[in-house]
Amino acid sequence: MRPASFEYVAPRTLPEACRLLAELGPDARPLAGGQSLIPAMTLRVANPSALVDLRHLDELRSIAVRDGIVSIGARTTHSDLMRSASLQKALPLLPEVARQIGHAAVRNRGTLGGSLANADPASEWPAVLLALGGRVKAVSQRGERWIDAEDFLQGVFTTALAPDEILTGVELPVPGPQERVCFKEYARQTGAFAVAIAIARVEFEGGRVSRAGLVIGACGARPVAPEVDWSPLVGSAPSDAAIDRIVAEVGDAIEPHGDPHFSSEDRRQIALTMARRALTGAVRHQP
Amino acid sequence: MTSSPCTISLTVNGERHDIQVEPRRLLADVLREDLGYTGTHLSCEIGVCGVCTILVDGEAARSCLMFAVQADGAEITTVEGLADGETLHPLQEAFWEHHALQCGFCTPGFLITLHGLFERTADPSDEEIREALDDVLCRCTGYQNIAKATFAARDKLRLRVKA
Repeated sequence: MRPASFEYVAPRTLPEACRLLAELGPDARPLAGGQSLIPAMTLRVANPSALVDLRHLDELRSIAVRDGIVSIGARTTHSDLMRSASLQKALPLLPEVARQIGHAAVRNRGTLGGSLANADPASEWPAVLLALGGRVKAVSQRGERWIDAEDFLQGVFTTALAPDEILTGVELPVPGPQERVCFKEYARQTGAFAVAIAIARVEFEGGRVSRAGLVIGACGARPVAPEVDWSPLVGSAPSDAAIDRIVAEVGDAIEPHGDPHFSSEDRRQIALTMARRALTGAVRHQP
Repeated sequence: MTSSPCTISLTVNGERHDIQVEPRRLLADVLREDLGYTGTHLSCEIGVCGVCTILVDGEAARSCLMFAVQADGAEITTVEGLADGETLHPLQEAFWEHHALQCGFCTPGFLITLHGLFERTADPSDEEIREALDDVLCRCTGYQNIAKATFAARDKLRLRVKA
């Protein structure tokens, strides 16, 4: 199969892109790396009437670290993130996650903004956005706004972006020096879509856990922070027993979907294993 | 719904082509059908298998995951661009010597992927090479000879740099 016909424009400025996206109507879409959109169009599960190619908007490809915030332009590729020396220093979680996405050829063109706007439940960046408490910038002819992760991620391939909005950037607060973040993912092959993702975040004070959190991705419509009782872990020195108690609760607090490869029950078990590994990893390197 | 043909310029293996293509045309199809570079193969057509890999401005890309119009102005390297006349590229020589192909269908994908790796990392480690082999699916060889061939090509290129 091959993609159906569409109108194609490649504007030179962001205001022009916003204008065209609005004019071309609600079935027009921005095109960034195309690594998710193009195969969907080849299979004809996506049939936009028009594509607004962002390829000339170089200002959207950027990485900056300032005052504890990492700011990344939407067109920054997974390869850019993987190779960034400044991120390796300030927020090494991002290069670590980028390395696990697809294959090199896909990483060279796929973008952070495109991945977030696509909101594939099995993708990594939405879970990272939620775990770090990040937000995205949406720009249109009507103006611009910031959308927090929790409001942005709405469901399967569904975000809070309006049809005339372009996601232009992402802001991620850097975890503090007393915090540890650990990312674990299970996929059947290198670069395949995640079956389950777990991101644990633990804060320490004087050798004891002062705060803890967990995000589970790829299990259901969107990444979630399961509601659990953290008291076994918080207030004490970390222990395997405490982690086991938390993980047991996580199992009941998530609703993983089933698919032809993994039943919802199998997915739940894999998610719990990833959760245990992520929590263990986060506490292992306590400051 | 119209999608009028666009005029684009693709430089493939150093040769410039100015052509008219509909936006919906995949780069892989334009290279193969419009320009005759059939060395780039198609299998899954959705970016999973890697046999369609080419270099775009020096970086590996899946040509089935690009519209030709996105490559307007770009420098593209296909497998046809590796040999220098009758002289094989060290990777091609090594693939030949170490039996790194059987049916040969995935071979262009590997050659371009590995060429891209060597262009980016002058002396890749065994680990980096093995990671790169993950990017292309081979159903015939079991990968061992592809790895051996690549190690040998790297060692040959290493000697060249020293000389």
